[in-house]
Amino acid sequence: MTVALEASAIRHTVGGEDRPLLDDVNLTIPPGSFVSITGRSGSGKSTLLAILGLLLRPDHGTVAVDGSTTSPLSDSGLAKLRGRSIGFVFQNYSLVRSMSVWQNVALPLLSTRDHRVRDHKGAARAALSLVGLDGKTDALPHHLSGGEQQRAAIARALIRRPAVILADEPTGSLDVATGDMVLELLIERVKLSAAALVLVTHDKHVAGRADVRLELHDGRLSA
Amino acid sequence: MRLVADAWRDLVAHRGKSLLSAISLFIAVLSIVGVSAAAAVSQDAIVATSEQETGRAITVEATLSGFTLDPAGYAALDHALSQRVGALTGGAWAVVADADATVGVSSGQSERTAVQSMKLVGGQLDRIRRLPLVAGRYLEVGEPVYPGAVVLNESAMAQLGPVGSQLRVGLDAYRPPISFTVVGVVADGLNASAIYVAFGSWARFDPTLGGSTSLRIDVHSPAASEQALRSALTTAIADAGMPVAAQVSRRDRADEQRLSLSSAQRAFMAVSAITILVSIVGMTNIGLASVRERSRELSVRRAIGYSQRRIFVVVMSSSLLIGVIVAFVAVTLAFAAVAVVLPRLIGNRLIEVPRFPWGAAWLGLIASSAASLVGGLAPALAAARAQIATALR
Repeated sequence: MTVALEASAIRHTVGGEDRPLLDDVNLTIPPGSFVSITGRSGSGKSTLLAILGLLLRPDHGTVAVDGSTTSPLSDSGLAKLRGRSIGFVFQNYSLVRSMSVWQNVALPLLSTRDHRVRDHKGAARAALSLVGLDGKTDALPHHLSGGEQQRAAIARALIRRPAVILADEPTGSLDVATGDMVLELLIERVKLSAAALVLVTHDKHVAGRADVRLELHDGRLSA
Repeated sequence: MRLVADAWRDLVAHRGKSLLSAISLFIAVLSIVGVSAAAAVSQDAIVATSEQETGRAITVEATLSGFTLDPAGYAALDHALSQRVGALTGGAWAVVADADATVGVSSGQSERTAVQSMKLVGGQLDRIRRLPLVAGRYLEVGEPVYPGAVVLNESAMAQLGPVGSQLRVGLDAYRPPISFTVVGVVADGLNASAIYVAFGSWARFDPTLGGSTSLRIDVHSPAASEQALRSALTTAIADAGMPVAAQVSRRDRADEQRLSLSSAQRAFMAVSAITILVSIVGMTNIGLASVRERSRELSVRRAIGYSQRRIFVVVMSSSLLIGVIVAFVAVTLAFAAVAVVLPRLIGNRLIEVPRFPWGAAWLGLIASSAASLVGGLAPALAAARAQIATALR
């Protein structure tokens, strides 16, 4: 069976520090699994997520996504792989303010010349329907509540049916009730799509929902 | 199409900055299109006026004075000019003599009479000068002898009547007036009234040709050199045995007009080029400010799969789209000015209003597209280099 995401011997140093922020990090995530990564502020959670999401090349080590080794890929190849195989859910939603909700959700479809999906609005509408935002298709993001914006971001992450969803503090900007609802929706939709979910959080309650709980400490991952 | 749609969406999503860029470019492109179109149109109009008054390029004239041309002398001149000028490519010639006559026109029961300037013409004056027809037709070879045919200019038409009017022309106090029918009206560019009548027609009634003592001969060829025309004209005059030495000179002024107009056009185009440069700087500034504002959005786009190349292409396409839209609006405005405003300014003096110069439209499109591409280059490069890892912060 193909591994959804695999990181081997990742070492990475930031800002001229002597000590690596990540040191010999190894991770194998099968499809359909839910992994949470916790750690103190500055422990390197977001850096690890950036490396797993192919936003950052590690100083050392390899990352494979959906069976593709990323080391030999060019920036353009990494972008293509990101667009095809990885969905992101950011803490602050990161919707483009000046675009309507459906246009935000359809953005990953526009990233490459993928002609398989011709009706972008239809695809975005279907994705929004899955997260309960049927009536908000043409609204602008700032007309939506925080929970609705995060649901739109989840729709955007899922629209290309990626192998991996990477979520960075997805409930961090929401109140507890809304956060729980959004987390429930995220877990449910990701499970239905058979993608792997990697969630970075400092919230023990959120991390407790994961199948596998990992903690980043002194640059190393431990269960 | 997908790229255009993406670029359009990008443009609309950032409509404020897009509008600023468009305004910055619009002024420059409108000045390019406007100057170019105005130069072409005014060249058409000025050259047309010049051709109306002095003849098409190249026209050479000879003025002969101090003698009276009789029908035999005219026939000899006609033959000599046909031989010498007719041999040149597209060669045409015309003989014009001025005479005054008392012209009467019926008005109800009474008849109004006035002394009018008659232009006795032979040859093909309408091929040498631009004489657009307002109504009817021009004089033809073999006009009927009685009643004879005359062509009026617009000023004469206002006094004597339209096509079909009957004129009674008195040669002198001792002979009865002769009837002429107005067969056409031409726009000859003259403010004074003029009646054109064929030499042959007139000579049947008045062999002295109105006692005219001066004569102008125009010769024209669109292909021959001025020297060849001068030579053909002087040889024809000599062949016809004209007793007076002719003063030969270049008559048409179209080339001079074109030259002075193109100097003015170059000066205006230089100013327009500077405005284009200023607009490029403006677009670059606005574009860079927009990229700074959009840095988070751009890094998110990179995160979700946009390659650097794709972002570069989208930003450049948006910029190009602005250029094309601006060119379209500027050309539409210039077209409207030529199609709607110009006919009102010109009236029916030239009859044919100059057409919209499509070269100006192409120039505007090229200038606008080039400026938008150059102006969009730095912002597109900056956008493509957006820090991707900041998407997670």
